[in-house]
Amino acid sequence: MRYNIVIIIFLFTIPCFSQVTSTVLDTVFLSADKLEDKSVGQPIIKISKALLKNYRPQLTEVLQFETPIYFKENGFGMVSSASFRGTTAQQTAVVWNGININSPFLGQTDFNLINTQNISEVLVRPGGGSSQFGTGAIGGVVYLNNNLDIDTENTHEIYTSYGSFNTKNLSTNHSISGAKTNLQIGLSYLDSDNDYEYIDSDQRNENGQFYNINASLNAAYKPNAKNSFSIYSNWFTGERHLSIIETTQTRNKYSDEHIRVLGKYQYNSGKNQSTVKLALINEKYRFYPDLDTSEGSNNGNGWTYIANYNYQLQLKKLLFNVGGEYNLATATGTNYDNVQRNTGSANVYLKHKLAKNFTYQATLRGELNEDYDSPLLFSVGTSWHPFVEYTLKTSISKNYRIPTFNDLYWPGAENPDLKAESSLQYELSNEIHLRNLKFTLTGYYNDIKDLIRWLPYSGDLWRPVNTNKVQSYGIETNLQYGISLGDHQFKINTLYSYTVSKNKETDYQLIYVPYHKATLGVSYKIADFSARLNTIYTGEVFTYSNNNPDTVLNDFLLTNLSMNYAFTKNRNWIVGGGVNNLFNTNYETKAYRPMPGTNYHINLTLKL
Amino acid sequence: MIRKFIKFSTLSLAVLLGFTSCDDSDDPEPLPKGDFENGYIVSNEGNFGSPNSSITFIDSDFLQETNTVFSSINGGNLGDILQSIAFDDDYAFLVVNNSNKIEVVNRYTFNSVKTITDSIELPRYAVVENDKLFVTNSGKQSVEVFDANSFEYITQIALNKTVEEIKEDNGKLYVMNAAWGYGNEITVIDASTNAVIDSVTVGDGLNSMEIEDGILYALHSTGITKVNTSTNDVIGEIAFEDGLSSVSKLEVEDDYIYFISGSKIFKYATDVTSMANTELLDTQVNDASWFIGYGFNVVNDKLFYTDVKGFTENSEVKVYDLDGTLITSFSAGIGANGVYDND
Repeated sequence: MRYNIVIIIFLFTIPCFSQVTSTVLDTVFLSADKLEDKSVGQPIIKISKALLKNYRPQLTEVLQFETPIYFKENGFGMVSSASFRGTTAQQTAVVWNGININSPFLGQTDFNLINTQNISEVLVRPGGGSSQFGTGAIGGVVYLNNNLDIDTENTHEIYTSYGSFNTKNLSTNHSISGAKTNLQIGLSYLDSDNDYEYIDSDQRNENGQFYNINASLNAAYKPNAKNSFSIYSNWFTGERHLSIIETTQTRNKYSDEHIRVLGKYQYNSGKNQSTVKLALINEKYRFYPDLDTSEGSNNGNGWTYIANYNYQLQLKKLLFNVGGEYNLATATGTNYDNVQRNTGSANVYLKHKLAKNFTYQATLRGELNEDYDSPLLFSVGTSWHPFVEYTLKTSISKNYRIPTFNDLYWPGAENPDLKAESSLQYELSNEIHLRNLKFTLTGYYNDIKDLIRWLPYSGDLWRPVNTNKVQSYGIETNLQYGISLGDHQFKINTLYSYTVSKNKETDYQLIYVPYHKATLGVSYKIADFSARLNTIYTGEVFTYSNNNPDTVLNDFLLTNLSMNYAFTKNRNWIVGGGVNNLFNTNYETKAYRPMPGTNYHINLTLKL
Repeated sequence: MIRKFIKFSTLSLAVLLGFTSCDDSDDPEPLPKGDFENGYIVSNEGNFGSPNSSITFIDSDFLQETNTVFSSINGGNLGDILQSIAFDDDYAFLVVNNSNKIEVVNRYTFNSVKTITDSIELPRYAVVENDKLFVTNSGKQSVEVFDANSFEYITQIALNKTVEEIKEDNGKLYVMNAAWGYGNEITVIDASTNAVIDSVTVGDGLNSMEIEDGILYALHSTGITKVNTSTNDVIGEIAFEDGLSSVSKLEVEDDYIYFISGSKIFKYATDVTSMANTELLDTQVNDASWFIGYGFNVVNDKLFYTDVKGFTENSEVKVYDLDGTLITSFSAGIGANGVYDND
């Protein structure tokens, strides 16, 4: 029945097609840090603004469908942590406009607390990146970018959607540009009862409701060719109840608030370029163990201050960078007695076009701090382009994950010998580029050591120590293909990853790391109508560290379908709708946390 | 479907066995009370935030074990954190801490009888006395009282203090007002009137307690305090020597005191005057886990020590005789925290 409806909608809408194309303007990008330019040797997955709109506002879903990353969600919209190339939740770095925003409290990012509606694009770079982006860039880097384009057309866009489980979403984005300026304002509101029924059960998701607000303000001012100023800011606040697994359980909730501000000044005189960045990050949370009272609530409030200077020398075939950064991270709260972490770091970057078809880059980063040992980080990447159609990339890097505030400052648990987790990584990629086809095949090997765990050390005292070793290796393939048949345009993007991630002592695969993951995205467009089908396959994952076959989470296939139609004379109204989990798959990404079955949403966009 | 089949087959088997025993002998043998008698019950608390607490049953010869007993018999999940189990003649009361409930089952068939939730908030331990079920209710710092036969809610005994273990002796209930290494008090309640009648102060860092032959033994951070349960007076103190510390899980059986410190099991006669830092045995559990010593019980002249393996896989229960010789070991569910006799 459901499929019939879909087909009927499909058939009915076909006659209404007409052309809708977005003009790509040739603009000057004042990117916070152009990731593409600094990634010699490593392929990047680019997720455009248009593609982001196809997904729910939380960062989890888009990455789940567009990258090899596995997400473990404590039920829909709840805490979501990443496993990238078989690494732990703290070993994926999330970078916002060049600034690492992994939480100092937990060392990781909750991907359901990152809103994608006010950013320009998401770039995902698998593999090591610590010498550029700091802690956690072991499995890979997720890069959130705001592009500030001066001297462009003004745009205004209002998007609203309503969906199953009383899910309401509103977002607006405005870009106002002058000859020397650009101002971007974005706002997003998301609210859901999130009370979905569990499939094949009489239970439903209880106490899972959440809402959040995201606002961003970004601006650039470029008075002349030499000077440019820019500021990026983002504010997020939200409240999330933590879904319960049994109706008798105590209901509780979490509130989160994040503020990020980055100011940047750049002076450019031909070969020389100096960049000064100042950034401020505030992260607040409060846990309410009982809904009715704030008694017994547990909170944390962390401030991070960053000052960064970077000098760049650009010659004809050589680019050289040297920079320094000071980072002060502080926290107060229930378990943090005004703790402080001072870190100073220096980095060198070199990019050299050695021959017409061969470029390499090298980075070096050293860090000084008083609380733990930090390794010297480096990376070397090469790109060889023997034919137009083929590129061979290689990369070797040393990466790290620094201890969290809990690891460092838990009263009585200080370990003077604590080191950062570190990894040595090798990677080789083949890229084949034909007219309308792009194919990438990457193999990697990652040796991770000194994983931090809390162990008993004397009597009932515990402290963090560097213990486990993990070996991960695998392949990633990606195929993109575009074809036009008359007025019909098709785009196919498919990805497969095979991941082995073993505890070196026991030889068991790490829990919540699927061996296999595959994605397929097919988009179709004719005239004013477009449709998109996204499917992912996630292989089974172990939930017991001894790889007990009785307690695995089964593999699953998850499919989303969405459609959009632009109307009115200027094509500035777009109406759309979508079905998520089309085949009502009963799946979990975390044990005992069922995810929603088939659900629907409709949306309306106004573009000015 | 499968569960129904298991239920049905168990029933058929029980019926069949019943008939067989009638045929085989003229002497009326007692009918089997259920599949889970004459053995040991292991409570597995499961992972916090997951409903995967479970029951393991193993027969008295350690030959045959059954896992996830509750779920197999009743369907569904047992709940989130099975903290402890209390028994009376017919029933087992499964105290499911983070599910805010007590699951009442037939102790031999494990068929579900009732789910008690009235006033229950983060329950810890329970005991049956005077046909009443007394539950320490940490969310409300109280003891909740239920009829042990009808399971109707009777009343709340508000203590406004930490509540943890509860033991009975001679119509009196002893409630430990200490947990997580803090506290030194025990509240005494009259089981017939539900009234607080006394309180006893013992050593700091009160961890666990046991009652044998009219004496309450209270294990704390520096030793064991002995309390006479007729008068509720402190009658003695046995101190640790040579830096013995981080002790937990007191058991007193047949004039011997047992407890653990990390991976080590200690044993002393009840009449010693001090306790030297010499273990009976070291279980050698040095798994990379902070949960060393999660479960320890002395049952039927055997020592049971659980190795929860960091809560990331099934636990191992090691069984020793009273002299510390390893008899056997068997696997239980996630987070095995206690072993109980079911004869």
